[in-house]
Amino acid sequence: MSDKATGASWMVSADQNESAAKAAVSAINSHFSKAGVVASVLKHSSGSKRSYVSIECPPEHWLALAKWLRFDNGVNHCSMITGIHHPDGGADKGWEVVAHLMRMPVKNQEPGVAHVMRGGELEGNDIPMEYEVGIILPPSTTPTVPSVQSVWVGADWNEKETWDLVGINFEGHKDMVRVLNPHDSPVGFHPLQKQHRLRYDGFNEMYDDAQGFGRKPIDADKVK
Amino acid sequence: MATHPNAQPNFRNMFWKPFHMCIKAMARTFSRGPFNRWAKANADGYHNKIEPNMLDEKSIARAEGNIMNDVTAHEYTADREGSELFPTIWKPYTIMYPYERLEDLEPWLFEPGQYNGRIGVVWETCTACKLCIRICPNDCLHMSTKLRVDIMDLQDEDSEHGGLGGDLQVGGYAALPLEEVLAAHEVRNPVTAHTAPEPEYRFGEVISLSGKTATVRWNDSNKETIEYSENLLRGDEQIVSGMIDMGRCMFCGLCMEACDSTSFFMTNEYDGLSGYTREDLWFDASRTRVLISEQQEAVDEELALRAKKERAKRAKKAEKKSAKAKKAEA
Amino acid sequence: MAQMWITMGPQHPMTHGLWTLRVKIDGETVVDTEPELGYIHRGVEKICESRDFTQITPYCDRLCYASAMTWAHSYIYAAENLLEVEVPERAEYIRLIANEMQRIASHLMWLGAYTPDTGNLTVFVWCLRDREMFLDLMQELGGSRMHYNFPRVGGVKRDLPIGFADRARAKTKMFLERMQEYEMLLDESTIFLIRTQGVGYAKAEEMVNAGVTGPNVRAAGVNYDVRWAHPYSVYDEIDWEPSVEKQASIKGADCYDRYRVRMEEMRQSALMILDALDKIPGGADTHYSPGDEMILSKAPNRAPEGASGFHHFEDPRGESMFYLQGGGEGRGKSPYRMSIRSPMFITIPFVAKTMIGYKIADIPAIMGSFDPCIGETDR
Repeated sequence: MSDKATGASWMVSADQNESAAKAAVSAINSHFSKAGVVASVLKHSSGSKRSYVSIECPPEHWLALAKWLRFDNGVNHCSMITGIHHPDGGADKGWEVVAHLMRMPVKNQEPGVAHVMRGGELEGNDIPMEYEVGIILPPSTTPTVPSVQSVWVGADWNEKETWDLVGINFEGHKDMVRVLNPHDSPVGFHPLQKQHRLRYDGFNEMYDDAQGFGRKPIDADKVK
Repeated sequence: MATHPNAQPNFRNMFWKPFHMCIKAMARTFSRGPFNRWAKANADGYHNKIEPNMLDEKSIARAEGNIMNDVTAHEYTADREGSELFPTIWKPYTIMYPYERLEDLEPWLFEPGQYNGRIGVVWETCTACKLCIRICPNDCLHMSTKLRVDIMDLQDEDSEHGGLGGDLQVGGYAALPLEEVLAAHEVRNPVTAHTAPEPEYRFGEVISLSGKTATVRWNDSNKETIEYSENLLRGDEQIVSGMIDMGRCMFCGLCMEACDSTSFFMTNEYDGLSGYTREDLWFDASRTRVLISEQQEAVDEELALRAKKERAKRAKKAEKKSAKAKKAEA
Repeated sequence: MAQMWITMGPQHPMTHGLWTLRVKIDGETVVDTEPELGYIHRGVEKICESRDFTQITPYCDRLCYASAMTWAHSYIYAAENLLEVEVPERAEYIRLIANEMQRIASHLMWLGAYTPDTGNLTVFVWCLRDREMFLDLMQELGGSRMHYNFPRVGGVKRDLPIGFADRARAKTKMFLERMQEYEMLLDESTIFLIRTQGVGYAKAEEMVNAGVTGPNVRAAGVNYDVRWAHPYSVYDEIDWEPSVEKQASIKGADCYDRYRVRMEEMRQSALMILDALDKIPGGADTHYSPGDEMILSKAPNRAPEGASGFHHFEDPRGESMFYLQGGGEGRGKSPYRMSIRSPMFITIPFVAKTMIGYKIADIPAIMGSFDPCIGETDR
């Protein structure tokens, strides 16, 4: 599908996507290879099977990587930061923080001028790209990851939500409060940890008396 | 008050638009017969604008021969004509619910298999497979089942219902009649008895069948023994009671899709689901009736399948009988 | 004059959902704001860790109830990434038609809720009347008016019903004509224009940095739409154009820009529906029975441990994303972790800061123009 006026395509093509992913991966690897950061190009396994950049990062280098991605690679949008509790992950993997970042093409924003860029014309660091950064933490009772609140504004509330629900601490985050759970939730209560189980977990019955054999009629105790 | 350059009073808004509205309304209302063209051109909405595709000569003649009735394709929404004389004056868009019902006006929205309405279960064809219970995301479906011998397996061979029982199946259940208990129950008076009746059968799972014998793992001892098949009756896990918590039901329709035996339906009814307490929203068998006529096809198919199986069984039994009789003669 | 904190909400007709906006005012002017969310936090992420992949779909409908079809599809695309499933092309077209109808219905609901906030009650009933047309169409597809449970992993629940194509075309064409009535009424109405123009400026760079996406950022001239940036489904085969508005002033995009973007998006969605009905493989008038391989492909129902899948999706409110991790042998039928990215969760704190400097009376106009839906925010 292409623009009627110029004939350029609106869509970002698969080649652009592939080349952008490869360029980003090689830049990251050359810059951060000594820090233990490993970047690779993975493909989505269904649909249009687009490529994305998958990065594994040790926790101590996360802030540096985030700053480099934002300022040198143009990753301007922090989509989501989420945390996962792995009680059975072994000695290496107790907690996992996954950050999804995106590169939005923003060119020369001037007021009164809408740069309606056509996807087919974008090149280099302007091509939209998805990034997935995985940070694996060893098992501990106080998992900690540096906060990227200073790098992306969008990371602020994402980190609050991750701490609130999963319990991963973000070092350097200002004003960490409960955002989805009530403000007076018990300290240390983080519902998405695996030891908290729902009643219907594993398809166990939710009810004590499912068919109501123990219930009384409405006018029990009232009829003499 | 501040004004906006786009919003100054102008002749188009003040005169022409009201003028056109009046002219079009008059054209819509007072155009009949030879002036139908104006009526159609100025009609509001998608009524009175489209000629229907009549399927045969008779219908075409009927449509054309009637100049008083403006036959158009009222396909898309509720027929809101105010009256036959002035069909272009419409009733309000609101469907006056207890008196007019949307399912009468737009029946394609409420197709019985397509609309997720009240749950209806044909309990007679339910095979207690519990697929619906496993797929319900909210744990609304509850069923109690009992392992027992189906009554069709207890009929005499020569009676009118004889020979319609089932055979032992691998993976199914087998029941061993306990003779002393059965004899005691012949003379037991349930009115004056002090204790509950004892189980009349000993149940077990059929592991394998070979020739005349069956390997059964008994439920009480968990041991496997080999028995003669003719001493065993078939056992079935059968549904005894079911309750559906409509208060928890989110009408997603997954249970209808999961039911293999076409006994579980979502009807197209949305009335009668209310109650004053949460217990009122627990539906048992009497409140989950299905209007059989709407699910008729599905139920008919299922019953036809079962009738075929029974006929095949009866034919086999009849063959066996005649073969025996021939042998006896010979 | 003394400054004081006022609480707007949680029950407040103009906050479009159940959340609290605490506003610090100095006379009539807003000096500071503090949003509080979490009133309808239902724990969907935790619940879905103990449900099968098919059972999760109705839960995702209920995340953003104003836009149920798109949220269910957002989840299903991520589940298909996790389970590595190919979707037949006809199913993709049906999904596109359903998603674009839902986009129109969601924007009509937004317009129908936003215009009464600015004082125009007529457009409220008009929008709901026209939204009924699309709700009826989606009822034919999914079985109920708001929570459809329509997509399945590998395809869709059932095919377009007989006669659906005729009804859809008639209603969509009717809607395109009716949109002109809305624009005529709103664009020439002093009250609406004064209340929305010059109010609620939001700069493009700030929005991009904050993670605001969708029509809100397109109103500022940033042409970013997941449908062309990371194409999924069959959007590259349909004739459409992304709708972008120029910023109104150097201070940013105002509420009127955001209104125009959504009107244009509705028009584009209507054109997309008409185009898709023409281009659908197999024709729009054929009907395949449920489970046929033209509309549903076989999918595994277990995901190996360590596998993960995510998908960015263009929701009427922005860019939504689901991230699923597989559970492995024992619990493989449910996801080990389901993480939901809601566009409104990020936008609402941003909007709260946008309101500083305006009057209290501008708060509904600014809030409404960003189209909040708290169901997806709180999950």
